[in-house]
Amino acid sequence: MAELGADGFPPELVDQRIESALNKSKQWLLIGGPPCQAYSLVGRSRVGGINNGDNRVYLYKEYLRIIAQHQPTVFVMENVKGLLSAKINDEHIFEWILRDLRNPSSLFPKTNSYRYKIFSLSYTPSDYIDEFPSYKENSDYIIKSEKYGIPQRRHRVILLGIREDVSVSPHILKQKVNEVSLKDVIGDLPKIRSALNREFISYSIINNKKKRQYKQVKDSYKTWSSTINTYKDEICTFNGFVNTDCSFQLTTNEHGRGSEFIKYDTPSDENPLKDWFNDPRLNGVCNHESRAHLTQDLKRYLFSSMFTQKYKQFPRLHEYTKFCSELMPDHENANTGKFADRFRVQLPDQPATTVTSHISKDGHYFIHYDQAQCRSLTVREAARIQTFPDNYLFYGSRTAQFHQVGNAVPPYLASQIAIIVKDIFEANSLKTKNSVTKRTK
Amino acid sequence: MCRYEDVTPNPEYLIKSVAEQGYSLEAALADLIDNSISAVADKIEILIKTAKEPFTLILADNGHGMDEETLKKSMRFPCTSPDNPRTQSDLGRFGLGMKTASFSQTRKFTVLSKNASSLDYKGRTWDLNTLTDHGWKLIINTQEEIYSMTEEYTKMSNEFLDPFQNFKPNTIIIWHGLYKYEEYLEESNRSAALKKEITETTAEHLSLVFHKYMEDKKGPLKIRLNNSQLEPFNPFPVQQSDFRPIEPKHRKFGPDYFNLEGYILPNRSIEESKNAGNIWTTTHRSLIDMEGIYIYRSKRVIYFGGWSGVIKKLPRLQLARLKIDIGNGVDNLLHLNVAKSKVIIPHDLKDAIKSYIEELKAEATKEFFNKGTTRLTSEKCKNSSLFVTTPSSKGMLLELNTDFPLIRQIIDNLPKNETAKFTLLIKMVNTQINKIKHTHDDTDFQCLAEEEQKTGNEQLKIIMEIVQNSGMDKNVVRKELLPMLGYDISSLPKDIIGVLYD
Repeated sequence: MAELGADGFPPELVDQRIESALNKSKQWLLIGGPPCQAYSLVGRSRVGGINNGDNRVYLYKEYLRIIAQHQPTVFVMENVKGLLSAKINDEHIFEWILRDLRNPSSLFPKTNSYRYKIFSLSYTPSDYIDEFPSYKENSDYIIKSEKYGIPQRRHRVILLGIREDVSVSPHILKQKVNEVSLKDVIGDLPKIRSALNREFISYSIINNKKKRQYKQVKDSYKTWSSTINTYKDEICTFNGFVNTDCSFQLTTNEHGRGSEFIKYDTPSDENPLKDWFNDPRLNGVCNHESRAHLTQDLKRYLFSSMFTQKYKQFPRLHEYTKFCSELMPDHENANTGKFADRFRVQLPDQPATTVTSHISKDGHYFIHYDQAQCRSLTVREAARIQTFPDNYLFYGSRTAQFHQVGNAVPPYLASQIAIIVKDIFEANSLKTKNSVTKRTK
Repeated sequence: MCRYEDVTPNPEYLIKSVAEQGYSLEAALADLIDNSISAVADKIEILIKTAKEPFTLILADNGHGMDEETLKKSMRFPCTSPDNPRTQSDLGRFGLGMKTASFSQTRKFTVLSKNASSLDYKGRTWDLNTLTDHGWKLIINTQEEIYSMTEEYTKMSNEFLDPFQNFKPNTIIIWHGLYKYEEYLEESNRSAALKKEITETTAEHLSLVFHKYMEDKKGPLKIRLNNSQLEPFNPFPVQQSDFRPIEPKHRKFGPDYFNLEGYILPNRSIEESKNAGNIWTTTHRSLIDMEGIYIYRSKRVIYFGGWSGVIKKLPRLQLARLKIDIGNGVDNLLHLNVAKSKVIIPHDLKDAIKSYIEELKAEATKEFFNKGTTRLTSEKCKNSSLFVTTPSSKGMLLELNTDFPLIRQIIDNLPKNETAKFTLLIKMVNTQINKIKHTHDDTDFQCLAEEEQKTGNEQLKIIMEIVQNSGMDKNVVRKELLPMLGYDISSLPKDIIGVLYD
């Protein structure tokens, strides 16, 4: 492991590592790119010279330097969608990045590097300028993952760079006819309940700060089900729930809160990604354990999942006040509208919203649609949404596990991109061979 | 020593002639839908590009799809033996339907399919040109070809209005070109002819043929045809109180049974059927187009509109419809052709149907000329006529109107124990009137429809009431009163008969 920009890991050492790994091979692939924060200062660095003191700028510059120095055949770089619209001093950062990537030696003249053709993976170029692809819109570089079989509306900018001497035009990703819904990929996991940890009692203002008092709650299936059933009966008396079916039964205690491994027959034959997730040796599911929540939060979860069931959309925060002010989170920002969709039930028949690493902080944004389970999503459910195969295990604290899940490029999407890249390498080696045989003749 | 000569058929000629099995566009589509239903699809999308030639037709369904091996098998000619027993829900028979139906309309078609547990389709294509050049060879579609076809499908599906929600097709059939519309018509007429065909004939045909599936409460079948989702059309609107059944018959036929149910449309339907959107006919058909036999196999209409050669069509029979339900087990006895467009009814069955149709014919003719009595039942004059008519399986029955002011008055003024006697009298009058009416009509009349429906217990109650309230001798009740009310003593249950004897 090596961390770019860390102390004791200078560029010379980076070069050394790369060179020994490449072993003089000229055909290689560079995957990954600098984090989005690195770009926020790009514009300034262009205008005012690159300031090595800022670590994030350093990462961007170092990335370009590696391309210029070692000239990979192909590079694939991913970043958030916001990169396209980000502006500094009224200049689009993205334009600068494209220019830098197309000609990395402009920043490092000594390297005299090849230039790069930057392709989109979702559209074919609208035009070529001197064999360099161009697109109508910068948004053509966005990959909408739900179109490619990912059960998630994750929109990312992915750039495919091909060295200018490689005259292969890449395929684009093939859109799937069917969108994969959330229920398709998590509906076949064992049903587990959430757990209780504490109950909010009251707050008092001490030194101008809210000080909340909680009571610890001892968790058991009995207390959980009686607490939730009480909430259920209460919610059923709310105005908007007159004709709601309140006869549903809470999840049984068969799998309890779940665990790091549950013996279970999953994925099912109806799971459209079964072949992708399935490892028959597993005979079960890993990292599927629910979290413990504040009892008041569970009430909000139950309310919002029942609301979603009835109205086919999740309730916005103002709807909480409409039904029962007690449901409102006791939060300074709650009334400001900033957090209007703070509690979000993921709809069963659609792809989920983007799984981010902040899913680790609280589950409010990822509430399970199944009211009978009344909980936020587990690590395995988040992993299914991200299309990690079931045999991919996550280690560490739950927070660390959620981070690993949320920060990834969905593996199923990555594999589709890998096939495109593989085709580039194969087509290229075929061309080189042919031209060699021609020459010998 | 035998000598043989090779007469392997020319595949091109064979296919071209096999395809001419009497398939119309709607019949060919209905055959593809049969396959979708057998695969438990509940949503079927039919998209036809009429704007530009070649006209492309796509049918997509969400039934359980096929893996590559099954797909390959299903593209074979034929893929199952017609003698194989089929499940009740299976609508195919020859294992030829999808192929011949497709080749009857197009010269090249592709089937893309996948399991629910996968996202990527496999594809196979039959192309008459390949057959001509290479013999019996099926084209295995490449990933690129499959992609460009699914892209075309998605594009068409999005361009038309009223799409399905949450629709996930597993099988997609593509007809590349509809040669009957491209080759046999003037260029300027082609697109218009096809459009008319789709919106009128095809839509109505499918609405009728699959109406039972579309009306299913648990899992209704939904069919989208270009811009709209089809509404079911039921040719037997039994919820109409004056849409009148005649007594049904149950006949054993081969290993299976079938039901004959005759219905008479009310006279008012003649006038109403002239308006679009009426309940008696589909928009582009008349009552006369729709008279006759309707044969249902499983829940699908396999034949309708006409008497299948049993009797001739007649304008005065336009109010008669006959429903025949048959099981899957007997359709080989019915001589159904591949296109399911033609049914030949075997001789002995024809006789049985014929005698039933005679009854139906008589009732239909009567209703056709019976303009006056229907007027009686209209709301307006409900209280002002002495007699009202009620439909029953015995035909229209005349009854004294108990809401007629004078009768009402008498009933209201009578003491309670006398009321029972009076209503008894009215019942007797009703029975006698209808007996007289039917003597003129030359049919046998036994009892009132009302009593017919009642269970033994209720009958017993009524008869006990008669014995107690009429103050008559049990002997008289048995011999005079009950026959007058329309009861046949010998047909009464034993326990009731016991009450009537001392």
